[in-house]
Amino acid sequence: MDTNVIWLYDLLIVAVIFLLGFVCLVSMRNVIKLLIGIEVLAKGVSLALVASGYVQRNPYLMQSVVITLIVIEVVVVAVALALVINLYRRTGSLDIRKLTKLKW
Amino acid sequence: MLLFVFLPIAAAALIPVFEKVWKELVDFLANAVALALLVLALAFITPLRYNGPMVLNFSELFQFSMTFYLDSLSLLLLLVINGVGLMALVYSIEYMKEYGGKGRYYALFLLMLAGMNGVVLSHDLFGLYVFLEVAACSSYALVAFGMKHEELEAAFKYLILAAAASALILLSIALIYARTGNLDMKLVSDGINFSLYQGDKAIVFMIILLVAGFGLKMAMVPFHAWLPDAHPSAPAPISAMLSGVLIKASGVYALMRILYNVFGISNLPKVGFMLMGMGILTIVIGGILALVQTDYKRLLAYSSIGQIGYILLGFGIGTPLGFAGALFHLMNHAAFKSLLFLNAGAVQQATGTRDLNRMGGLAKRMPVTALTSLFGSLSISGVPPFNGFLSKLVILVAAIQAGHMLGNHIYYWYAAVGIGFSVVTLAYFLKVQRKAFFGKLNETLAGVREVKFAMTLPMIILALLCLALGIGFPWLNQALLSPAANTLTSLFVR
Amino acid sequence: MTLHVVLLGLLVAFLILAVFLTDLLKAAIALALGSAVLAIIFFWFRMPYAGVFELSVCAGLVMVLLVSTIGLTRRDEPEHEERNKSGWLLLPILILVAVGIIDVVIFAFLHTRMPLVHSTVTTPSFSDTLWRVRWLDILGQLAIILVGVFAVLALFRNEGGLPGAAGERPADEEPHGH
Repeated sequence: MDTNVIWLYDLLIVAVIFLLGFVCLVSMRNVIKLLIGIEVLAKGVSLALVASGYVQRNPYLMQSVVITLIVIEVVVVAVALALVINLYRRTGSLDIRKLTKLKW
Repeated sequence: MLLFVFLPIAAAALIPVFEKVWKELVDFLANAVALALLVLALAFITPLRYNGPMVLNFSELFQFSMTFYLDSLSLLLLLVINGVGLMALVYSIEYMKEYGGKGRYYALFLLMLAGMNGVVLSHDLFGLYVFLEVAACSSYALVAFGMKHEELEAAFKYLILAAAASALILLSIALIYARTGNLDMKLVSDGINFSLYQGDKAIVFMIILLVAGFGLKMAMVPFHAWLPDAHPSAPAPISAMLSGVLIKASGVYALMRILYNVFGISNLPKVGFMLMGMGILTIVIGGILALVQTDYKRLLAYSSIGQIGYILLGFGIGTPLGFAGALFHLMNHAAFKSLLFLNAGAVQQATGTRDLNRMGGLAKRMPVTALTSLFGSLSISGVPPFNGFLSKLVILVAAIQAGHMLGNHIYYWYAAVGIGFSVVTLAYFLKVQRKAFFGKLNETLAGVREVKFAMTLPMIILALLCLALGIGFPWLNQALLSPAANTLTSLFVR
Repeated sequence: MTLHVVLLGLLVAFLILAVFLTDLLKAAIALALGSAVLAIIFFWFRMPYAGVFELSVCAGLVMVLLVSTIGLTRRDEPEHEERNKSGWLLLPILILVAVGIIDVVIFAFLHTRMPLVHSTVTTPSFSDTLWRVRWLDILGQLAIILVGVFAVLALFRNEGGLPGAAGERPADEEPHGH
């Protein structure tokens, strides 16, 4: 039953982290902050995956899953940074309010 | 079977080498790979009917390794993905000339194809996610390929929203794993059904997460915000791929595969209702927003959103007829929407604008584009004998039939809404046709000419395909659609 | 057990800092520290490889974030950002989601047989053999690394996109008149 308690705590924390991540995405303006929000979500997901692996008493499967996930996340952030850098070159700012050329 | 994924990856990796050797070689290589994939997909049709679903499994490897699983549903999607991919690639030979960096474009495109093929073939929940991300990341870069402000902004919004959706999907996978202890779809479905039998409530939450995550990737209505920005800004062949294929392979297919085969929601009618409701909502909002657009490609983007609603409606109904209609509409939409986007790209390249109000009378100058566009518009509006008519008809008939069987009146309302918005589709496409192609020739456009052959060829092929799919429906149904539809009605057997 | 709770608390604390600090440099540093705590949590869960990977990769990632932020904003004042007040309307919805997760937890907790179906017959004994089980993932990783490489190459190429994308900045804010 000890595992279940750990699972409980971990899920609670995952919920909190997800909340943080979505709050960040919704309310922050700087594009770099948006990337941090994505990172926070990814951390939450990694924690969820790892905790579920622990509960199932099979750390190896989830380990490889998490490693794959980290690789994917790196690429996503890399592409995002490439976009951000190019955006900065075009507009000279990192404020998301400037990105309103595409409207309704 | 591994070739579907391995071949594009290998080709993509080799492209820089080829580019150094001889610049034009990359065009040839990319198209050859796509053609090879399409032929491979076609080659699987008959063996599948005789042997049943095939599994890729190396016997010397561990018994429960990840596998690829090819059944008729996957095969249908494979045909769609590689077919439209080939068309878009041929089109790109000419269209991408002004963008530069063709080698990298082809590499990303091939990787996107590899990712989508992997999604469709994957028999493992996390494997599906991995290939989904491969396709998605390449699409982020491809949307931004022109590097103008508009494209970068659209690509960035798309990236953020899709990354958030991926997080939701992964969370659901984590919960599923915690519940069932497996990631392989067959084993997971055993575990889930066991749980359902016990009256487990957490399943609902997992389903909601999945619907939200995949719904965002397929631009279902509460989550559609990224699509009207991403599709117009992307280069035309990429818009065609995104709208015609990626939304479906990554969004619709993945969701339906998981919901029906893994969760077995044929036994959970409430989820079907939810899908139908969201489908109707999507049809309505997509249709209304499409009416007011003046940008050619943006209108097409909203129209895509609406058509996805029809597909969702068909899937939500839950009967084999509904599935067949939805799958047929999926295939058709890939055909005619990509055709329409290629048309829009041709118009944009020839005239330099996407604003409908500034166009007019292009039919005289660009006859091939105009004619194929007419074919596409009639198809999507549901005019016989084109394919759109049949697929919408099947979905609506399935709705009415299900309503009759269940004695539930709301199905009839849904069917009525479906028919109504089909008329709306016709209305806004007539508007497009009238403004862009017919009418008086706008003076500023006096100098335009028809686009080159490499671009018209895919358009012609797709237009003919629209007609052929419509006329050839009985054969199609027997060979492809019904087997595919039937796979969704039950859980995995292997 | 208490160690685990402490680690979780630290993780949340650092992530709160990362989200809510307005100075981007400090936020990125908070993110890096949060990653470090997460790596320690991975070790606690007996997943050493994942921990090492997370530590190295995320440290590097955050370093790249920092460097790019510094490189991009070569100005006198440090890069700040402001809050968006209207975004707080979505907060109730997010609270609902969090409540949903807690609800799930309660149900799962009540189901004493938490892992209903154990991962079947034989689990591989070494994490090395695992790479044979998850080999398609590896193929996928290869693919996505290629995607990353080509995406960066594509987005930074010199032949530079459509005409008019040659990296000029707008000279001033254009009036939205016409």
